[in-house]
Amino acid sequence: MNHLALRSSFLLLAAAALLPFARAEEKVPLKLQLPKPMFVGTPVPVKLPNLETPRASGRRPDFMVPKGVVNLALNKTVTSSDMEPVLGDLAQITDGEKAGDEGNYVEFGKGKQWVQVDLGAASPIYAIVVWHYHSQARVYKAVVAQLSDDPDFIKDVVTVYNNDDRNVNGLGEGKDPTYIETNEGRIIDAKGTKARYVRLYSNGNTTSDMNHYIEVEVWGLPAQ
Amino acid sequence: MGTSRAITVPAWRTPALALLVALGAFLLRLPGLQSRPFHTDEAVNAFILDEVFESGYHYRTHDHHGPTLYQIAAAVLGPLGIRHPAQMEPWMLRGFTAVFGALLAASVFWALLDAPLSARVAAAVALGIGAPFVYYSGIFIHELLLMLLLLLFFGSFLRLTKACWTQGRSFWKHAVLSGVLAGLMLATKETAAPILFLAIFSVLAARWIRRSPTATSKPASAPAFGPSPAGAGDTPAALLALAAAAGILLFTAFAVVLLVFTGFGRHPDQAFGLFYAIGPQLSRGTGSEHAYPAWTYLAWLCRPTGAGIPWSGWLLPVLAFAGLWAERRHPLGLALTLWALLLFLFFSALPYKTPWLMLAWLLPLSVLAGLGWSALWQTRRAWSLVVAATALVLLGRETWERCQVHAVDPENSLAYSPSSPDLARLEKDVDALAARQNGGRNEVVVQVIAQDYWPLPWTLRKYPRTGYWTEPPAHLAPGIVLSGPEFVGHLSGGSAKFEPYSIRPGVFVFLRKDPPAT
Repeated sequence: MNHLALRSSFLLLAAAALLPFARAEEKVPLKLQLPKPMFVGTPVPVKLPNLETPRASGRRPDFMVPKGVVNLALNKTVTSSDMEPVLGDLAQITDGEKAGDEGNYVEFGKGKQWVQVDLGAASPIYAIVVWHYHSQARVYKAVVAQLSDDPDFIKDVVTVYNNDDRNVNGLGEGKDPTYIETNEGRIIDAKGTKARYVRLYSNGNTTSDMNHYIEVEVWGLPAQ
Repeated sequence: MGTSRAITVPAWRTPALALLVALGAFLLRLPGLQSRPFHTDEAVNAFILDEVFESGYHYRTHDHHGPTLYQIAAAVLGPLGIRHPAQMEPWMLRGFTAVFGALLAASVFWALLDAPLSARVAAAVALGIGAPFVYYSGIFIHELLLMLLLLLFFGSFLRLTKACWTQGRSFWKHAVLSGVLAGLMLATKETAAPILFLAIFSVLAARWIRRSPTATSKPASAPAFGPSPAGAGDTPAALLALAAAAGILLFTAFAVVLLVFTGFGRHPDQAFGLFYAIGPQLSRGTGSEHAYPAWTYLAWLCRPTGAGIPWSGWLLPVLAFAGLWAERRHPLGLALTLWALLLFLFFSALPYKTPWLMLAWLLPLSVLAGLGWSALWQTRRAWSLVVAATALVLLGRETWERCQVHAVDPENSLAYSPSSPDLARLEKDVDALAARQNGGRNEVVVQVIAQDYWPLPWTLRKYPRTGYWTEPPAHLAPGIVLSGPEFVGHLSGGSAKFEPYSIRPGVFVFLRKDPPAT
């Protein structure tokens, strides 16, 4: 054992003595092994005739609203066409948390689904901002936003956004563009329409037939 | 068309015509080989070829196919010193499929041996100018190679059944050749299994149904696809010959599959890859990915599309019906009809659909349409000549529009998830950014951060220091950054400028326009 310890000490000393020489050696650039592309299968075609070309990045142009607007939807009651979502709780849609992490979204069933926010009182609404899902580049189909004072959306319904170009939701054909989801969310101009209820429709997305919501904000002036 | 099919043309005329058809078909496939945007599947195939050069073939049972295409490409490109995608140009890879497409048209002359020469010419022209065959001849995927092997197999199997039916002693040669071709097909693409099964069934069923109850000719004089002599195929000797041929065919096919998958013994671990693929491929075929309704193939073939694209696909079934009528006394017409119909029903019943899978049943349909076109022409009546000439003009025009003018138009049903011409702009802009970096193209680090980035590896193949992430890396290196829309907000930090480029319809990638210098 003593011999072994002695030999180890000599080796360490020799290595230490050689260290300055090693440092003086010529340096070469570190060649990193970058991750190779992962092989994929044939991509599924995305057929969206009215898809909006994404904006070059940088700050999104300001969306002008009257001074004093607040998020009227924060922590307000949410109802939906599917009161038992596949994932998550309805309350998450207005809890103010917009991160795209796993578990931070609410998943609804296939096909046409809607969520509805009760603002508590009719208020002038200037912007609706919706985040469906943004940890993957996908497009939600047949997005429609409506406002009304009628909780059943039968009378006095105002449609402020509709990109359902084939009228799959049965709410009328829409001309607004489809768009790729990002962490910016989508600002929908509500033009100061006064309403108590906000209803948002979708009908699947380009990845699956399911519907998702991370957050909905409704910016307006509080009811007097 | 009568039952007499004596060949009276000089021997040199058939190979000369085959050569002429092959040359014409090849020339028709040349335009756009270099300039058309590279499809994602082509890009993936180019990088699998790179892997074949680096470490041999590794079979991925779910998404990808057998090694034949890569081994043929490697055998030609390797000796020329072209071993990495950076050294490749689109025409170098698409040239292979263009050659397969030209050979497919020419091989009709061999496959339909004993058919009248005019019928073979017409069938060869139908395959030579048919829009789907021209289109997929210009894409570096497995389909055209599979179709070439399939038509050769069909010709070989016709000879095999003739030899067995007539108790010829040379049946084993045809059995071996059929086995080799079947093995190569199975080593090319997994769909070969049902295609082979249904093609074999069609030939045997047609031979049995069309056996002539009154034929008195000696068995040895029966043409390859003429009426089978009475009782032929029913004798114990013929049944024994068929059983022996089936054994030889299966054994040879199995041996070829093993040889090709193992790279002729160099990679024994890949030997049974095809068998492991059965489960994944079945679940893929019946799964929800690329799932379309049963009528989709019919719509892709016959339904007119928008955007001013002509579609004369409906002509094929019409001409094929004329071909069936002309060949109604012979097993060939019935075999081709059964083959086309059964494969059409099989692929329509599968939820998984892509337009190139149509080729398996468009092949017999086009041959039959060629026979119908020839029959029309042979009548020498004014109306039939007009119909035949009009059909040729319509099919030719459609091919030009679909394969050249609207080659990457999403409205074109042959263009499935086509890559965007915008990739050329992206390539130019990346080149301009790289030129401003130290070391230029060879040294600049390119970081692609997106969940859907193909075919960018092909677009960026000349940048050796390119990495791909599906989530943003912890540290972003200086250099060129390309981001998917899902990460561009995170990466831009509100200040960096990113510009969007379309890589496929509905799929975008963003290039950072102000990269810090390296």
